[in-house]
Amino acid sequence: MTPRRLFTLPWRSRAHIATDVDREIAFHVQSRVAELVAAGVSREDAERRALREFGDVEDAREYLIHLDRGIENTQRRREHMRDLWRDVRYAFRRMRAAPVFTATAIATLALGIGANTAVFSVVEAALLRPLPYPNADRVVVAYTVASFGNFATSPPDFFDWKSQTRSFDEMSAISAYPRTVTGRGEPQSIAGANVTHGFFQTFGVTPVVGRVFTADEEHYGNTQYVVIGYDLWQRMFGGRDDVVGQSLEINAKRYLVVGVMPKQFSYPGRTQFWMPLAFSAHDLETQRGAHYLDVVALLKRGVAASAASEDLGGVMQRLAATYPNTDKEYIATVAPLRDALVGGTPKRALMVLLLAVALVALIASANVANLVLARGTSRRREMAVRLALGATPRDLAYIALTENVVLALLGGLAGLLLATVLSGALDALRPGALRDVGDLHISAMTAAFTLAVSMLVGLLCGLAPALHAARRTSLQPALQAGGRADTGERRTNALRATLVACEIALSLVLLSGAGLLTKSFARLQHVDAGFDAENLLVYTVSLPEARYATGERIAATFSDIVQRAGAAPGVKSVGLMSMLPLDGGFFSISTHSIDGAVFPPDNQPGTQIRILAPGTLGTLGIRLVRGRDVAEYDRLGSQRVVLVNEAAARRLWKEVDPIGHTISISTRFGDDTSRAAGTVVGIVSDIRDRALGSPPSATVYFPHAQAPWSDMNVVVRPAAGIAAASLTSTLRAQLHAVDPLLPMVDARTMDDVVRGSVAQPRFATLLMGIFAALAVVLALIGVFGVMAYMVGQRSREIGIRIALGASGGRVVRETLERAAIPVFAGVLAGVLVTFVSVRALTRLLYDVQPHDPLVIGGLTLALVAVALLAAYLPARRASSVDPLTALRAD
Amino acid sequence: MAREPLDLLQGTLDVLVLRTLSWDTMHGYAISRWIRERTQGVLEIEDAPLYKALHRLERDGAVTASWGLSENNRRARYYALTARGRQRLKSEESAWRRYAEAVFRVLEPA
Repeated sequence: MTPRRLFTLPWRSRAHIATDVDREIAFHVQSRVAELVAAGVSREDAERRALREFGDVEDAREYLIHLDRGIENTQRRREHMRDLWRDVRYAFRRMRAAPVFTATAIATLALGIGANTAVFSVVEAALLRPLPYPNADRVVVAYTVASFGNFATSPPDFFDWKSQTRSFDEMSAISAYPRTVTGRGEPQSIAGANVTHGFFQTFGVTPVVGRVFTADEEHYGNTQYVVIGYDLWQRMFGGRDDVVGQSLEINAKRYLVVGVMPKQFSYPGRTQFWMPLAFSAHDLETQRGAHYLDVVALLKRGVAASAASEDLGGVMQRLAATYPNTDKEYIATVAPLRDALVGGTPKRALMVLLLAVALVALIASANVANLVLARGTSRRREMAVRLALGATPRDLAYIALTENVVLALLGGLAGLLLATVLSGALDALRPGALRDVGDLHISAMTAAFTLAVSMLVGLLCGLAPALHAARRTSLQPALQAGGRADTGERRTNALRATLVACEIALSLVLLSGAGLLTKSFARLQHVDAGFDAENLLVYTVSLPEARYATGERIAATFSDIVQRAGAAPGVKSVGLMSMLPLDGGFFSISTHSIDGAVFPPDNQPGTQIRILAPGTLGTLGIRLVRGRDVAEYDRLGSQRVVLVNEAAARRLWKEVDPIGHTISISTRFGDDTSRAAGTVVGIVSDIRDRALGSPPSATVYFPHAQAPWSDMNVVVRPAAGIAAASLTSTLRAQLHAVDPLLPMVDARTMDDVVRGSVAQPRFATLLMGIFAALAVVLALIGVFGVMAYMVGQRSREIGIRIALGASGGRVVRETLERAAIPVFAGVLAGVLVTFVSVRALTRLLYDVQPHDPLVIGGLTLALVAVALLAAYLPARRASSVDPLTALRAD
Repeated sequence: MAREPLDLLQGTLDVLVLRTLSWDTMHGYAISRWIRERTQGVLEIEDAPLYKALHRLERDGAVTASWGLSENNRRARYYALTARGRQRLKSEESAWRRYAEAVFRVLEPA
């Protein structure tokens, strides 16, 4: 400790330094003059001589002032550091002295801060981490928008977009779907994409081996070149450099590898090979209504996505006017790649969760502040001694703050560890939309965020105790009262009650949010999907075009597959369906005519198209309302039939019974060159096909024999007592008996499919529930702690009253009444805040109003009840106070 | 801002000041008088550079300064040698001696 600190001399101001220098010089000159005068020199001569001996006074003065200011600053800095270090060491010493307090506080903070770290790591991976493409910030997705949603674009529209817009450096169309790769180990279904020229340039990726396509290789009809992904290169070619020129068999056709993409590039989704996409002149003439292309584009430098959107929108407007039959009422727009990847609802859910964990951190801070205050009271004598020894209230505040910041940093460290340990579980819980964007790990940014939150939390929970320490200027009563209560205590109690009220209020907000989400999720889970998803095995089979060229062959093969699967032991029934319900598929086609009456081209209602095999309805548990199911005798050449669901019947036929009427749609199946059409022979019940929370779409079902489709899902219902998943290997063997080169793709249970469809609400609901539970537990600990402390403090008073004849019940009641004040104040504030803030949830809720009185009211009552219970436990102790012991205490 | 005179005198002055303070805590005027007496007027030393040297030594941690009362009861700034200052005096003194000896060896007739 420097002498300055010992005597608590104030630091010298700039003016003060100048005065000191002047005074020093004046002392010198005056002393010299006095000495000369004493030696007999006249005063005038003496002054002149003294000044001459001194030299340039003004120059020296400036120099000294400058130098001294530097000295002062350095010392001040050094001393601050020394003080800080001393306070930190002191904090550690005191934490060691109170291990229970320290452990409680650090655990509380670790939970509060760890929750923040965990949620932030998800946010960072999904929204903040740069996408791993060189041009990531300029890549946008372009798509068509119609009344029923966003969808893909058609080849002619794409080329018009590309040639007529001015906002893009590159634009590329993608047709992506999984294909079967054979010839290198087991046949596998791997995500692949056909891409038009400029695809790799859009992202700015360059191959790690070989090259991308030359213009020649991209010509129409030239379909033999492929660029492969890094993982596929490692897996199938052992990562060898001579991969270029080797062949890969995709959908039974040979392709030559020309290059390998870097590891982090797998757009779209988890694509592992890319082939050129080109169109014939005939395609471009006839396909304007065929929407199957996804479009990515590279914004010109300096062009905003919104401006590009306007540019593209204008082009689409002209196209809609030029081609009203196909493009009328379509809008085109662009969105940044990340928005397209993450989507609006997951983003909103993340923001809500981030807000929720911030509240948890606040509650944890309040709790620790309360702990610190409780401890502060028992440390009053120490503080008073420090004051008496010359420490200022500010010094005490600094000590209190330092202690809490150190505590919070330790809590933050523990929280970081906690989040790291739990990040695997969190990853499994993430909905697919978030998982595809980025891997979950604790990045440097997340660590920095945790540090910032810890500092903030430390300052927050140190603030109240610090202010409190700073305000206590009178040390007399503290010294006299020793460690016990006195009048100044009342203020501490009020502060602690306020903190508890805040905790109750915040936890009610979280509890209400979690309650609403839970109710919404329960409603979603109880939605009758219209089919029986329980214990069904599903898997996909894709027949490569090269070996299955005709519709007849496709239909016969699938019949064979169904038959063999049906004959396998443990199987009750088997069905086929082109697109599983709730699996994210969307295949809407315009209705062309009903009973030969053609809809006007600008007013063709869209219907979902599904293709199925006889017996599929029964296997899935979809009810036949009227008429008959499709049957084995509905085959190529016989009368063409369809089933419609009730929604389609209502929408297309209104009051009329659709059975016996014919319908045709604007597409073709298999080798049939005429429009797909059929006579309605049955009406089936509706199913929730797009999402559990969305109404059923109007759907037309075609028998697979009459509408052959090369990608079908096999649906297997096991016999009673057999688990669906256990049939997988048996059925794979059956499939390979039909064709050993066909992979069994995506084998899973229908329950998995349904669960996958609600991954996002489950994620938000579960996390919100955890955070709310955490908040309530912390708040209850807060209530309990404050009550227990208060009872302990007042034990003498209670003892006196019991001695004077007050009944135990009355003492308990009165103690509880005191506790009730912060609880009810907190609940009141909480309800108000809840009503304002639950609006943020509106778009995340299904069939639940954000102000649902039952949820909010019920949870409020429950919170009051448990809070009073937490208060009752210590209050009960009051009644058992032994008056003699209490009076003798101290 | 004032210049920092970087001639032979500066180093000399430092060692003289340190040596002076090695006897006792003194204020600036006492140091000035002490050096003047000991050098018997041979060295023409102005007081301004002396004070600059004192404050520089304070910055370097060789001396500390504090206000105290002078012999005639006036507030004066007193300087005291620190451990670091003593160390510095030792090394500068020996450097000076070697320097002076070298000069003498040149000047003395062989």
